[in-house]
Amino acid sequence: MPLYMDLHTKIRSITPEAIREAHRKDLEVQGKYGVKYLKYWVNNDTGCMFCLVEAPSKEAAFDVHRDAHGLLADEIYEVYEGA
Amino acid sequence: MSKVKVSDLRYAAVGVPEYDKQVEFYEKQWGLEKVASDGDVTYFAAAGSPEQYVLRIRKSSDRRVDLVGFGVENAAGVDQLAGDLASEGVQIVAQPGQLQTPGGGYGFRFFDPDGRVVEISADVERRKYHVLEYRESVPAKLSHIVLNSPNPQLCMEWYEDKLGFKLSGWLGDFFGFLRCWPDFHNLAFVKNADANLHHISFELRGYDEYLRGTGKLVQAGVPMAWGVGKHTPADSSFSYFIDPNGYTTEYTAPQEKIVDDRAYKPPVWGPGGLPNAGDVWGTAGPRNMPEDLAHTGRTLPKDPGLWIAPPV
Repeated sequence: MPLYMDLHTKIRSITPEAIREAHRKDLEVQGKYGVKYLKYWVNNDTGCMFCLVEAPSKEAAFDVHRDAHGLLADEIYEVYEGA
Repeated sequence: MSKVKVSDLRYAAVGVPEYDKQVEFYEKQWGLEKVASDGDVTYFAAAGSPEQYVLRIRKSSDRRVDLVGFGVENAAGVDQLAGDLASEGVQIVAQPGQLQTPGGGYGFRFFDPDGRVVEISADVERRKYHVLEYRESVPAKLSHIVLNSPNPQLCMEWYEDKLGFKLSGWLGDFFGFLRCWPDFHNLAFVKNADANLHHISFELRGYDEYLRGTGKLVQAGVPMAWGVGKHTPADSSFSYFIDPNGYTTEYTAPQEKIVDDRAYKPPVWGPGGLPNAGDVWGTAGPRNMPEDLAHTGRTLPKDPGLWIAPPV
């Protein structure tokens, strides 16, 4: 399954509670699309967020966000993990 | 039972006298995808959007706004909202029923306080789309619709109260912004002498694509009304062009999003607006938008389609 990282910018009212709630909704919806949202990273000050997701396609990852809360990423890239 | 809230902006529909030129412009120059054509009506989708269509163009002797289309979550919501609005005295134009437009679905139509026709729908089949790639400089989606009104305060309150829109902010007391999902604005109202269309805005993937798309239109000789630039509200970039029927149509890059409705406090930039709020980058040059009474002193005639349902 491809691994993607998406990038959200310009989020004006980030709070940890709201992001947790959005992620919880992703987890509720993702099974319908064969998607697995794994982790996210947030910078409250700049309104930036990154989501790591396993998905059959970029569109499937977008569809989960769309159905769950409507907070769509600006960009999404297929990535591989290194350390 | 809780009130039904609009959950997304679906499309704008206009009637225009120069139909062939309008269709050619939005397909060949603006970068929308023609998905259906039925005699004198053409439907356009945006490449990055699952909406069946984001713009409908109809041949008409008058230049008018035919419809503004919004979605709700399901068919039960359509029925409930139609019943609620009717009971509150809103004039229903078409009762809930199956839609015959691309993607089908279930919907109804009514007049808003200025007499625009609004369609609410659900269960419209999603269109196959693709997430736009770097340098793919065509519209990803319909971003927002801005409407002129002699009474924007009334319209703002009406859309908040009746349709569940959320207030995102005001520029002075003349330009109000509403959202129905996280994007800062999907709908806005501007003070003007008469009700008509201010502009329709299409979002491109990012700044690179927005500038490439803008450049392509400039090079092709499409008249630019204002831009390139960035507004303070929504942190939204803009390139306003004039389409073949004289409507203002915009390319923009992604705008601000609001994720925590409880924490967000809608600002008022004003009271007379904010210095440079319209042109944060200082790049936009002279402003020449025909709908823009506050800045050009000119205004358009009242939309002839107010309080008149379009034929389709």
